[in-house]
Amino acid sequence: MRVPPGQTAMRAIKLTIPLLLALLFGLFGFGIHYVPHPWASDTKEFISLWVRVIGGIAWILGAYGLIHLHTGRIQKKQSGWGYSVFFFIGLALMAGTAFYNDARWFWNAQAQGGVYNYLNNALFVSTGATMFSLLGFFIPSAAVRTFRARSFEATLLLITAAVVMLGMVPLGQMVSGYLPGAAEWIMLVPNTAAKRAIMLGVSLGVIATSLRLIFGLERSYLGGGE
Amino acid sequence: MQVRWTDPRLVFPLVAAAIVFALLFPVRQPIKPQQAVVQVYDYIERLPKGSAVMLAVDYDPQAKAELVPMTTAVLRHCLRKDLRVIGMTFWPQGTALGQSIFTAVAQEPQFRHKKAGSDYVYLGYKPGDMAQVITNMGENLPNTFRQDYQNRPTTAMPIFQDVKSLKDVDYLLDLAAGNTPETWVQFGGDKYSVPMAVGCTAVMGPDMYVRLTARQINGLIAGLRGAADYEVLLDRPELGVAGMFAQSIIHVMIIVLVVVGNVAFLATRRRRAREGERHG
Repeated sequence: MRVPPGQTAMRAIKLTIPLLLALLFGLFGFGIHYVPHPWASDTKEFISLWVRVIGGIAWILGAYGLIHLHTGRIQKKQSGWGYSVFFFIGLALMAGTAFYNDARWFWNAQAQGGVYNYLNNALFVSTGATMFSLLGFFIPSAAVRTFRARSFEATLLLITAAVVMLGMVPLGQMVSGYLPGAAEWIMLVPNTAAKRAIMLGVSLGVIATSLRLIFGLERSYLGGGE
Repeated sequence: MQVRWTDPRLVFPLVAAAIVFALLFPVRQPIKPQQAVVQVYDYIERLPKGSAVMLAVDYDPQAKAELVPMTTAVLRHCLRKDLRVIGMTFWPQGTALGQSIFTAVAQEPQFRHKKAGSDYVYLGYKPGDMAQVITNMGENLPNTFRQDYQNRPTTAMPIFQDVKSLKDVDYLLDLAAGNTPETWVQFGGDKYSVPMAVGCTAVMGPDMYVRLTARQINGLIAGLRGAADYEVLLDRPELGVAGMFAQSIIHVMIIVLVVVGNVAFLATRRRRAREGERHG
């Protein structure tokens, strides 16, 4: 049966060309890391530049998306719209001081001890560290609720966690000289064995999926259900 | 209103009270450094004077409590040993934090004679795909970072006169709060045969033991405990050691709460079983 010329061209655009591109760039991207030649290094630097350009555009898009989202919230007076006002205050303050750069402007290196650095250290660093420190509250709360001796496996997990927790702090060392050794053994042997098994499984999966993509066996990214 | 003993409204104030108590009234405990930390210390200790050490400050302010004491201790050790230190980061949020650590340590009285660009340099953040940037560093380091964080050209810096690429770096330490050690191991340590170690947050520690046992890294500093160990080895106890009592108290508190909770759980289960038998 003859295929109409229009359909052949469409098939090439939708299927053959993307598959060839995937094959070409897949093999190129793979090979370039293993060729010890200045050409490969220059090409990598060139590609890295492209990634940076695309990354820069993504930052602009991200900023636009955030501004659009928070403007909408304020205009519609949605619940919690006051937080959106703080978003704009934060954005204006950090971006403004970074661009101004203590009258040296943004094309020069950031001024040491300037307003931007002060805001970064006094606000960004402190709030970031505070947010992470909340983990110190959530983990004990979660541990208390979840560590239950419901079964043999759960009891084993509970005991293991207790040994590691005690063995990893100096107090455990004072309780028993064996605890640090036991904790280290748990980390080095059963933990490593389990982690390694998971990593091997994931890596084999990634390799298999990459090969399927490069050689056109995996086509779901093309859409159309073909 | 009934408050269960597992209720966060009870657990959170208990944790807060324990931490505040431990920080206000610290009790110095004997700290025996872990073997994985000793390995990093010993390796740096054995490096000849003038060797180049790269510190990748791959974290943001969220990991400050654990990783800043660690970075400070390692940097002090390197400068004390007259090693040349090259700092950089793959985390844009941590760029200024890294610079502040380098500046603070370099301004300490015993290191005031150290010169930026000769004895140490902080290159700052390099955007782009991490694997590609590391590979570029493996080909030409000053070309990858044409300027340091202060916009000074790197090609003229004395430190880069013999450290032309990552291959000339004698030791690499990735201080990380994310997945950067994986890429550093694959493209830095393995590909260019640079001996390397990892410093990381406590939650990342279990993942890094895999790299340690495979000898892809020759040492590991994990969490605040790791930082405390390093400070003890340096004989300069600071924030890491100061946090150990609080950490000990919290760990014991969690264990006590878990034990109490399980006793209550088992008692409830037994009571329900008896009630079930009674009702047929």
